[in-house]
Amino acid sequence: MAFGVQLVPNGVIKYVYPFEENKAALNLDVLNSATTSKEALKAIERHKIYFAGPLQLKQGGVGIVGRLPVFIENEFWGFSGVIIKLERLIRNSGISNFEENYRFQLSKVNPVSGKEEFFLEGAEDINLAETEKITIEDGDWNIYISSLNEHEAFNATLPVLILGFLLACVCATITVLVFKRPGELQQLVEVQTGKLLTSELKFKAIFDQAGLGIVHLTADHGKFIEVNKRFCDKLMLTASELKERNFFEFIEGDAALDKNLLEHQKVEVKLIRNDGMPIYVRLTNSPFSSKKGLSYITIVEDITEKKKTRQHLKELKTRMEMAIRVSKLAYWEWNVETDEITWSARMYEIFGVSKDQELGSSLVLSHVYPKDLKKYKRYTKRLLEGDTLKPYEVRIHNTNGGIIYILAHVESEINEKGKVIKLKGSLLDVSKEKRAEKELNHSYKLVLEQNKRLLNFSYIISHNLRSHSSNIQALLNLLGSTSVDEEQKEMLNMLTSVSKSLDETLYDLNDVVNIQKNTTISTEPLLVKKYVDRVLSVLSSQIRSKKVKITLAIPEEAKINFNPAYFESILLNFISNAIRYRHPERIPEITIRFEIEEELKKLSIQDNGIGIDLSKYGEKLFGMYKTFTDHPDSRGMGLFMSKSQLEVLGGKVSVESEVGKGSTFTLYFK
Amino acid sequence: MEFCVIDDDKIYQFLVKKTIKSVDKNFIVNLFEDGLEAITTFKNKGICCTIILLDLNMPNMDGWQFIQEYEKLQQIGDQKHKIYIATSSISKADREKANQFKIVQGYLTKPITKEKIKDLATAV
Repeated sequence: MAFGVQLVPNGVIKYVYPFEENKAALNLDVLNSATTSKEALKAIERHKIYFAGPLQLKQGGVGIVGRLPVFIENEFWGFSGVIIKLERLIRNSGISNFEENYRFQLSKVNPVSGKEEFFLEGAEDINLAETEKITIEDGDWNIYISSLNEHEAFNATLPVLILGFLLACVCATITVLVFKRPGELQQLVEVQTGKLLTSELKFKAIFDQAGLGIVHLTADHGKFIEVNKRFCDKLMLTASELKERNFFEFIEGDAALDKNLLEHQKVEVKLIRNDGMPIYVRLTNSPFSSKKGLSYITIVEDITEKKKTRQHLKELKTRMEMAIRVSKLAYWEWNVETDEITWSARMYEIFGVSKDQELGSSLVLSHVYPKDLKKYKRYTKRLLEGDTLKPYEVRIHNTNGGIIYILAHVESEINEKGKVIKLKGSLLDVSKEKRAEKELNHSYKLVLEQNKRLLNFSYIISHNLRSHSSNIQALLNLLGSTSVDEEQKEMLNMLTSVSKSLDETLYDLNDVVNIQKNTTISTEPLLVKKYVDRVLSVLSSQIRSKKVKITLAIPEEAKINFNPAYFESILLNFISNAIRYRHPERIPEITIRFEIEEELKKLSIQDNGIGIDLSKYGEKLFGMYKTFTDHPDSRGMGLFMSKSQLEVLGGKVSVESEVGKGSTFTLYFK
Repeated sequence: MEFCVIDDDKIYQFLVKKTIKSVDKNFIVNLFEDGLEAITTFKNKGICCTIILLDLNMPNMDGWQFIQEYEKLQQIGDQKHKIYIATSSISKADREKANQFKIVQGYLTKPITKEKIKDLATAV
């Protein structure tokens, strides 16, 4: 008789049977649908079955729905419902047997509209005043019976009829609720069991084959209810061996004493394997309650490797940080894309920048020594292109104003696409070494210079002083052995001449020693033009008598830093040389020119004199007592002295010459 | 016996000539101002002397340069001539350098005394 059954958890139709005929009703929310909610709520209110309808069924036709509210622990769970098609109910009720003599009518007040609705044919014929009315509580139904023969007394039969009808109704209900349902439920159980079986197999497979250890533990003692293979392998024990022990036995440390260990959803502990080796695991505990009481499903994840790696990384990091700190290493990283810069503490010290200063490439650039900026940019560009560079030197000035020599080791970090994403490296403050090196170089030069002068000194002693003294000795010898007055007189004249030469040589010696002594000769800015003019005026009588043409190309304001006495002596020497070694067949022309070339100041003295054969004398030109002409005034000291004076003050001299055409001496000043 | 004195020191020239003559009046002394003058004369007129007293420090062509030029001449001529360095230099370096030339017979330091000349003359 039932058209279908349904399960309505939370008032929403979720399960129907038979499925095909009733699927249209699925997902109907009976508690919230206008046509059904009132009667559904009535069922809940009454805690009893209530027959709703007749109503238009979603699945077609008119029917009544009996809803049995289900309560679990006094909480409304939903309905268990039965659908009966009205047409079938009436047919089965046996009412038709009475139709010859009586007329029946079934009515109900529509819960929505509030109007009484009649469900049997011929409602318009019935005379309600002459009918008997019976109300059925379980659905607020009204049953009307009236006799077709008006005057026939039907009072006597009436109770029987009503009873019959009611019985029919109740029978139908019972049949549906009691007999029909178990069958269907049985079927459902079978379906569900099948499903469960599949799920359990699946679960079993997951449990056994899982890459993680999974154990099922009792809550109180941590006894193993079930363990998977992975866990057994981890502890190097079999499942049966494990089942005789409890989980806490394997835990080392304080965690073993923690009674509530399993209550932590996630916790890391150290387990001791069967062979005594420790492993680190992370437990994920899920409580699981069943009839047998509370237990825990615990996932055991081996984090030994992770922990080792983490520990290793941590150690590496600490070691690196310590190394950077102890070695006072200036380490830096520059993220090329974001311009983010990371510095070790030492970097801040070197740059003289406070730690709260915001770092960026512009800050670094602003510290690079201007003269090294080009070089720095060139190197950086190459690094950004992925080149590897040898350590290079660059100067920076720190905020305290000092210049610092830096030795930079830099590497570029390249991502998988081959793009340079980071530059990183270390700096070494090599200022001390650099200064020491400079000083050493300076000392070396000084020693070399002094050595040279010492050689010159010994040269003067051995050649010049000795030549005079030997002459005096020889003269005295001869003087003693000769008796001729005239010869004696001649020799005495010679002695005078030798003593004069001796005096000159002593002066030279004095000059040489003086240059050697005064390694710190004071310098001052000198107007070049002023000094040249002064020397020319000293030489003016010679210039006039020899008709020398002098051309000057010296800016009025041109200055050099030099010692005034030296400068005068040098000018005098070179200009007088230019006059002295003039060409006998030409009017002497001397051009004195001042120029600045790459920060070096140049003063050149050009003549059109006899010239010097440099291939022959080049090396010796500036040597002491080197004379290359028979000129009576050349003693071989001038060029030597001038060169020494220039060199002592960081300058130098060079010469260009061609025999018969002239010479140009160029003096370079620092 | 013929001496060649190559030295730019006029006083020395005078003194050494006197000293040589005092040993033997018949000794001939040729004087040259520097190496260049001597080598030019030797080239033109041939090497005329037995003993050469050579100074080191001279303008135009010094003693060392003279020796090099002289060695070239020596290969042509077949006469034996003895070169002595006669210098005021007592520097060890000069003495050692002189020893490197096989042609140099000895190293004399000024003043050149009578005794030294006598030694040279007897060694010939």
